[in-house]
Amino acid sequence: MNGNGPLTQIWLASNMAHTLPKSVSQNTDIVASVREIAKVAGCTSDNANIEPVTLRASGELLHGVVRVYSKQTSLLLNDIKDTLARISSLFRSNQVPIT
Amino acid sequence: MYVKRIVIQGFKTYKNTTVIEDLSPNLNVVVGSNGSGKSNLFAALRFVLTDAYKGLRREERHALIHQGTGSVMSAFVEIEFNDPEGQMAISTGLQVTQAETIKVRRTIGLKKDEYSINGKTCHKGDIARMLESVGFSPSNPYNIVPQGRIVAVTNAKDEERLSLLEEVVGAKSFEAKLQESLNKMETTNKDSAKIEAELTELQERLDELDEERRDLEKYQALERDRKAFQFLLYDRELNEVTNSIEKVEDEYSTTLKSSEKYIEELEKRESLVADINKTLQKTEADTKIKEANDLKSEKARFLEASERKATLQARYKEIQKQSKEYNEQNVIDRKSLAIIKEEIKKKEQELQELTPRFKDLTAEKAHYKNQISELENIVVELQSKRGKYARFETQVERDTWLGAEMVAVEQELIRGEKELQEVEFEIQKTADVMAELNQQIDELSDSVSGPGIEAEMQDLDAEIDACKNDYLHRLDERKELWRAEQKLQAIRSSSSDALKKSERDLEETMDRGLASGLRAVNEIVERLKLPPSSVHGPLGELLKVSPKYKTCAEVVGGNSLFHVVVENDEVASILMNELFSTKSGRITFIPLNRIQTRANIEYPSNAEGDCTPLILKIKCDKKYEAAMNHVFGKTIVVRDLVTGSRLAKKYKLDAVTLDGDRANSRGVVSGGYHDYHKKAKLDCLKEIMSVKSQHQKAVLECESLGDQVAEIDAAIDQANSKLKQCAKRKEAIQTDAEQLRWKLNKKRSELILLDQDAATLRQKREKLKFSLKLAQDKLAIYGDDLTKPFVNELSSDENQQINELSRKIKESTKIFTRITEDLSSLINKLDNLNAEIDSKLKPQEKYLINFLDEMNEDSMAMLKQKLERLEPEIKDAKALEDLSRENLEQTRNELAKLKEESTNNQRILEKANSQQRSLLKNLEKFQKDAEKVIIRKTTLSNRRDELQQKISEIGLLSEESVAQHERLGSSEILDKLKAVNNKLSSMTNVNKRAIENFKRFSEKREELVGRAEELVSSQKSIEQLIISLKKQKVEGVETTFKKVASNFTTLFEMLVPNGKGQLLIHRREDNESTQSSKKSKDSAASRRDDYIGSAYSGVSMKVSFNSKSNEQTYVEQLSGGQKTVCAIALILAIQMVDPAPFYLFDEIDAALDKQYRTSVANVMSRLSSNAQFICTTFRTDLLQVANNFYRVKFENRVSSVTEVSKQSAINFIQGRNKLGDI
Ligand SMILES: Nc1ncnc2c1ncn2[C@@H]1O[C@H](COP(=O)(O)OP(=O)(O)OP(=O)(O)O)[C@@H](O)[C@H]1O
Ligand SMILES: [Mg+2]
Repeated sequence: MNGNGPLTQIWLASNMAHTLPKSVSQNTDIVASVREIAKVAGCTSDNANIEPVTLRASGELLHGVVRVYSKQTSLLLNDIKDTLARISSLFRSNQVPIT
Repeated sequence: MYVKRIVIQGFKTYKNTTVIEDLSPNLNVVVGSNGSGKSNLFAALRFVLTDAYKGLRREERHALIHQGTGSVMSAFVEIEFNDPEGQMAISTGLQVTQAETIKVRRTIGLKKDEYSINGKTCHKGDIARMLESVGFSPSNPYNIVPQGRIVAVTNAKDEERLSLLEEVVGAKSFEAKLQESLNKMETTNKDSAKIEAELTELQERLDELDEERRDLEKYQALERDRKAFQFLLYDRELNEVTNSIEKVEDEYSTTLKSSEKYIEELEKRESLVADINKTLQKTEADTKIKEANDLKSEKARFLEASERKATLQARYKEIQKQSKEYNEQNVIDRKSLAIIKEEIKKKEQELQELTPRFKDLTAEKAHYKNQISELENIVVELQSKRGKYARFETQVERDTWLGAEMVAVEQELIRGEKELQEVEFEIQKTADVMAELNQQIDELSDSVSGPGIEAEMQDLDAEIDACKNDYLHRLDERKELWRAEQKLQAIRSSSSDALKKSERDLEETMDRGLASGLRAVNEIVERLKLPPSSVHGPLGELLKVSPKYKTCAEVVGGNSLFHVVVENDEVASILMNELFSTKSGRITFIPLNRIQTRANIEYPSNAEGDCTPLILKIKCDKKYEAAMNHVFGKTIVVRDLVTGSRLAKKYKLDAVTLDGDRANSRGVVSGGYHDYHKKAKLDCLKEIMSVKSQHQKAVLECESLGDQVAEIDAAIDQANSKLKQCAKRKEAIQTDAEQLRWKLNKKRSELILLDQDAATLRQKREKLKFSLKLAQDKLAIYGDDLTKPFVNELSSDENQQINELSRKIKESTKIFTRITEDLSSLINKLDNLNAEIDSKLKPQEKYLINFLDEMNEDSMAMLKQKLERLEPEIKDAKALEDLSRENLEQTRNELAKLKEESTNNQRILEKANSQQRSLLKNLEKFQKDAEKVIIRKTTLSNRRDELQQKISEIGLLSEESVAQHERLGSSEILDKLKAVNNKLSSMTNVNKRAIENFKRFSEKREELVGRAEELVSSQKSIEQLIISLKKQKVEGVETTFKKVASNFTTLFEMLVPNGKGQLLIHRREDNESTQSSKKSKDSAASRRDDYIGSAYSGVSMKVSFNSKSNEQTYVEQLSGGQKTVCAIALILAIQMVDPAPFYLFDEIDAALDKQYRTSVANVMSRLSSNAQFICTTFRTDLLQVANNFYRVKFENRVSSVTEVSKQSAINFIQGRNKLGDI
């Protein structure tokens, strides 16, 4: 489970006790990850051949994906705030007349 | 994964370090007496692995640490897991060095309590997570079952059992994570809302920006106009400025031309000054040399000559005086000689006068003496006749006696004659010896002072004189040479100074690396003794160029003039390595064997332009032609730069004007003001060459002079030795002569002795003759007597005769006495005279004569000779002195002349310098003018650049916008510009970057909006996932429960073949209906809250021990042993579904009877193939199926554990049981 590609980052995100790096959150496609989790957790019916992971593991994965999502959201919020601030500063600087 | 090794120290009874190793991955059994420490071992494991010992107080810790003799302050327990797949390691997130095992350790002290994994301190949570990841839940109470706790499972409430089940499914941890996720989602959603709000604000801002953008567009249109106006204005000014620059340049060139005239003048002066300086230096050097050498030497020579003259004169005078003295002495001596001679004459005369009387007297004396003796003889005869014959009686008697007497006398006669003969012989012999001696003396005196020896001596003297002359001559010559050498040395040192100065001049024309390199090359050539033909020197030294083309060559050659030409590349590499290793500069070398002659270069014909190839104007040795071609071949000399650059481009050549301005094939032109004050490299090189050759000449001359001096030295030595030899020979001859003279003297004295001998012999002869005559007389008397008759008595006659005779004797005696007296007085006188003559006067005379002889012949002649010899010498000395004086005078004159010359030159130099100064002042003025012009030019060109800059700042303008205003006048344009500017200034608030910003932020917004949308879809999908996972969880619990239930039933049947066990799950609805159960939940209300969405309320067991069909009873109603069986069945059932890696059971079989023990042991044995079991027991059943055995011993209140064999473990248990039975 740990080694199987797409969810490694998510698993680590859950287990990593502290803040997770920006690159992890930016490079993760949440929708795809969620689809993958659903698949391994046995929620979707189309994969009978795969032994579903334990509940404990799916809980971990869920937590991981939520953490990533939360991180992305806060990042976006920060970006927007930053942009706004920059625009405002633009207006502020316009007040000074140019000769 | 299983426990491999346990280390305990200081924990409870395990005071010492206790190691339990090589635990079986399957079933391990620990045995030991009561209170030996088995439970403590389990406690130790729980201490590390479970939550049981959490949040300990000080006393509790104290209880855990060993108490007893010896103070133990801390305790630790380390458990080593076998983890070959690294399953545990990866989940810790810690870097694990040893992949095979994981060591978990907990250390406890009175104050501290810390965990570590593989020696690395970590948090308890890390260990919990790690264990959970491999399926060992620290919160599961049934993995480690402490003593007497097994029944708790059966006694547990339904809800607890349910939670156990959920635990097994992992629901608990899932719930926790879910809750956490949900919380996070909630906060995140708040963020999303904010995002939306912010995005709207962003949009508003963007709208504002859009407005600004439109303003800006208007502004830009105005700007374009303004730029067009500005451009026109600037363009017009630019044209003006360009024109004035051209004018200024013209002015500059005229100034330059007039200054050139001055520069030429200056140059001429400079060369003049240099010439004067050179002559000045030369005269100064000459003066110095003259002063230091010539003057000094002349003075010395003069002094020497006059000294010599003085000494010679003094000697001459002395000799003269000596000769005068000699003459005086001579006169005195002659006088005394005359006196002495007179005296001698007188004395001799006297002697002669006395001599006849002496002879007479002597004759008389002899006569009387004879007479007396005759008379006496007769008397004696007569008397003796009487007396003689008186004793004879007879005649016969007498005759016999007479006969005998006669015989005796005859014999005596014979003997005397013989003796006489002998003496005669002796005399003869002596005369012979004397003759021989005389001859010898003659010979000797001949060899002592004969003409042969004299001639030899004279020859020797002449030779010595010649040698001496030669020697002195040589000495003079050497002195002369020394002087010349000194002079040459002075010249050499001055020339070497000049060389150094020229070298310094040259070095000023190049950079230091190059200069030191060139110097180093010379040094290296000398040091390595490279043949002079291998290194030819700098290129500039090897060429000759007429002054007209000097500047060209200089400019074109540049630093290539200092490239060193060498014979081949081998030499070049030697030199280069040497330069590199001594770190002395860089030099470019031109190996002659590597230079390729360039393919014929095509030069423009003269018709095409006034030009000539530079190479034709450079003369050099034939072997350097290739090198010269390499440097100068591609250059033509042109009259002016215009044609030059044209030709250069056309023929791919470089062109250079006579002033050194250049144009190359790429069209680059360089030139300008050339510094005429600086020394030209070529001049410097030429100067060095000439000075060097001078210096070398001086050095060579010096060397040859040194050789000559050495030669002369040798000659002097030779002459000296010859002189010495001659002197030695002379001395030898003299000593020889001395010896001979001594011999001669000896012979002479010998001769005198012999003379005396001869005299004695002659006297002896006279005596003998006389005695012979006496004997004959006697014989005659005896004969006479014999004839006479024998008479005895004297006759009267005879008596008478005797008387007569006596009287006669008396008379004669009287006369004799008188004569004798006279004679003796006469003899006395004679003796006196003789003595005076012989011992006094004669020696005096002899001495004087000798002295005079010597005087006259040798000394005078010698003195005269000496004088004669001295005279020419004095004359020579005088002549020499005069000559020296003359020379000295001449030298002084020369010096004075030189000094005068030098002062003259100095004056000229000063004049030239002052002229030059004024020239320089003029030139400076020109330069200032030129500078002014240049400054003007620079300001103008600055302005031009500025304008160009401004025009370029204005940037590209569309043709039409310019053309539109082209026809307007400048003032109109200015007005319009002003108007536009006014308009523009009213719009100062316009945002210049509005367009760009608008674009940028729009893009940004788009991206942000995209991300926000993406997040919304993410959120939706996560929510979906949560829902489905919740469902999954419920399903999971159900399926797990089903599995556990069926396992339970089968296990129960295995344990109790006759019975039947069943596990029941209760739905929530069932419980909610009953008040009681709800109330019972209150205690666990907080826990229940976590179970959101849980569909169940509890799990219960239903078992029957005796029949399969019988009514099953709830476990609460069972006996202790039965409860234990149920508990074991449940635990093992769960184990089958969710296998934990290891189980620790402390005496789980304590309450069971034999039948159940056996079946439990069998089941455990079966399960132990999948999981590790560590159990304690007091029964043999478990031992039968176990793999490893350990025995705990308790001694001195300290426990120890040893691994034992199966048999000894069984023996221990059986022994104990028997004991217990008794
Ligand atoms: N902190 C401590 N220091 C020293 N000894 C201790 C400490 N705590 C407990 N003990 C001793 O440990 C012994 C208890 O041992 P333990 O419970 O392991 O025995 P056991 O082998 O399990 O016996 P049983 O067969 O009766 O169950 C007691 O004798 C007790 O005095
Ligand atoms: Mg015990």
